[in-house]
Amino acid sequence: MKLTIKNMEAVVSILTITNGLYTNSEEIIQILGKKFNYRILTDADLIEKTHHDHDIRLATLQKVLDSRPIAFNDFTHEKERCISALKKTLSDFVSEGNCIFHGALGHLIPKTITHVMRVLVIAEKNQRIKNAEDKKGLSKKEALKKIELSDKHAFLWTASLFNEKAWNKSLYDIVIPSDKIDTKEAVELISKYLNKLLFTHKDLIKQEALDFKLIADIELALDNIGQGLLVESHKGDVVVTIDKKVMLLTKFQQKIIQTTKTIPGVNSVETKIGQNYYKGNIIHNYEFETPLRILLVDDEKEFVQTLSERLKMRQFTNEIVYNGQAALNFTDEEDPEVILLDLKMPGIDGFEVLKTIKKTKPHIEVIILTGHGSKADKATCMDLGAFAYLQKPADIDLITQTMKKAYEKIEAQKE
Amino acid sequence: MKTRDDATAFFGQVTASTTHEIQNVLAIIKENAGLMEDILLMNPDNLPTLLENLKRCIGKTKEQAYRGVDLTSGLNAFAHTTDTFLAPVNVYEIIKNLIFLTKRFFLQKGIKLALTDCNCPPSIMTDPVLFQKILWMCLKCLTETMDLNTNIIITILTPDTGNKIEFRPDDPTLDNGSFNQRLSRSAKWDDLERTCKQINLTPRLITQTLPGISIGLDQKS
Repeated sequence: MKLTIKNMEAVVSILTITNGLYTNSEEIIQILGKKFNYRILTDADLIEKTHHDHDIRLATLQKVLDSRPIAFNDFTHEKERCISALKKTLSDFVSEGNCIFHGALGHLIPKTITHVMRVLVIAEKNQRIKNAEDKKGLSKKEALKKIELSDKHAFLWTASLFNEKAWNKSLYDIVIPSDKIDTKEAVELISKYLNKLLFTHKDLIKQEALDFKLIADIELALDNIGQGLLVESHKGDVVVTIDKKVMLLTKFQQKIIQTTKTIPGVNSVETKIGQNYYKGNIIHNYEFETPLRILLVDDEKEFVQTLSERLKMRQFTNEIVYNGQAALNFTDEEDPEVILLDLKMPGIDGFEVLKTIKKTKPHIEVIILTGHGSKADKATCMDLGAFAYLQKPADIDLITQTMKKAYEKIEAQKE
Repeated sequence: MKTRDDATAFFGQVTASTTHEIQNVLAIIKENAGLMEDILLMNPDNLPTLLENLKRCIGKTKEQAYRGVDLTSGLNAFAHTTDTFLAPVNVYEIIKNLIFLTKRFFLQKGIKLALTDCNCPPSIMTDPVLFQKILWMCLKCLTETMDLNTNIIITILTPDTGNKIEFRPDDPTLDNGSFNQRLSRSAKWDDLERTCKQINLTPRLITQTLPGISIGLDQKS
């Protein structure tokens, strides 16, 4: 869509439309797409393209959008990589222009991109339930359940990006209450707003798109060296803000500059210190070539959560589950290498878990950590193939030493 | 093969369950103390985060300390029930304490014990050890007859509403007839009857609504 003002040709070519579920937004978007000849790209389209271009699993990308936890993310940083890759996909489409991003992923477009109009389509919950009943044939209970789940994902997403609620007006240029105005009025309102929107010079829009692309490329490159980095670019002059705990600051800054300079389009790079920066330290530095993936299994939540935190401080990446069945499910879906396992748990006990793991995934080393054990229990566990048997409360150094030995065994078996 | 008598076995199982919990409490306190040490080593430059983390650890340690005190107090009260052969027993309090000490044991089998409130709990003069043993046997009898992962509801009926204790699995699908048949045929039922006889109490199978066991508190001579 081109608008002309005296001596200036301007373009407003990107719409992002976020909506609550069952707010009749699809109709509005289809009409807008036809009216302005815009391509409509949904979250699913963007995820599909990102999966294809960056070889990231679809399930992982969906997990990120739903704000579900990703196992071992402290080590793999898969979540951060997914977001960088999604931004790259978005930046490619923003460069092309003339599109409507329909969904939550439009929030990844930086606010510095001024030629994007951000729209929210929302309605009262009761109306949304009614829409679902009328148009999708759902029962009230089913509709409410789906709405609550969808809203939860939306809220978690914007909370993680902006620390704001999903329907907060400050995130949008215009809010369309689809329960108060019909589709025709909604389309007219958006079109009118588009016409009134302050627009910028064509060259500046082009530069904004280029800067966005550059930011996305830089973020992808920097994912390999660390997280908590905020990237800004203005005509190729890049500023990277270090906004997290860092141990060797100067070395880290040099690495950032070195990596960023290799990206085509970068004119200059400088680093800044963010407000969340502080000098970190670790208790003991275990140098793992490939960090261990550890699963902690214990029904005593307070204990295992504290242990988890202490292990992470010592660079032992870990995840927690609270019962035997969850442990077995986890090993089916994820890839732990070492399990720290309690014996006495409700439901499937530790003996059963140990037996099943050693039968189905014998490469996983299991360390028993129990408050209960007798000599007979120890003998049983060792016969079942446990790597070690420790009594609670065990010293943290003993636990980490045992894990290190398990790691050495695993590495030796790989060779 | 030599086996312990029932009372000893009962005391052993209750003590094992409680001490397991106490061990967990101490393990948590130890880990929190260690975490506080780690935090002091980790964050010398970031005072607000340091203070927040330490406050969190101290809160958890305090909570666990209180939990530990409750457990040892409960175990101490349990141990003192061996002091005399005849004492006034507050039925509600003794059941409440027994549930508190043994909930972990039953949770291992996916069973939660729920004691309904009682405004004026009855009190009886009896052998506290045997009385607790009877309560324990009722729970074990039910546990071994019903499906795991079902809860047990314990109701105390006051002298004007029946003067008894009822133990019922919280499962509306249970068939009264067949369940009670299984119960009465188990070896544990015979043991229960024998033990109740020692202190003049009567176990009965509940035949109305949900099945279960009731212990009448009218002590017949």
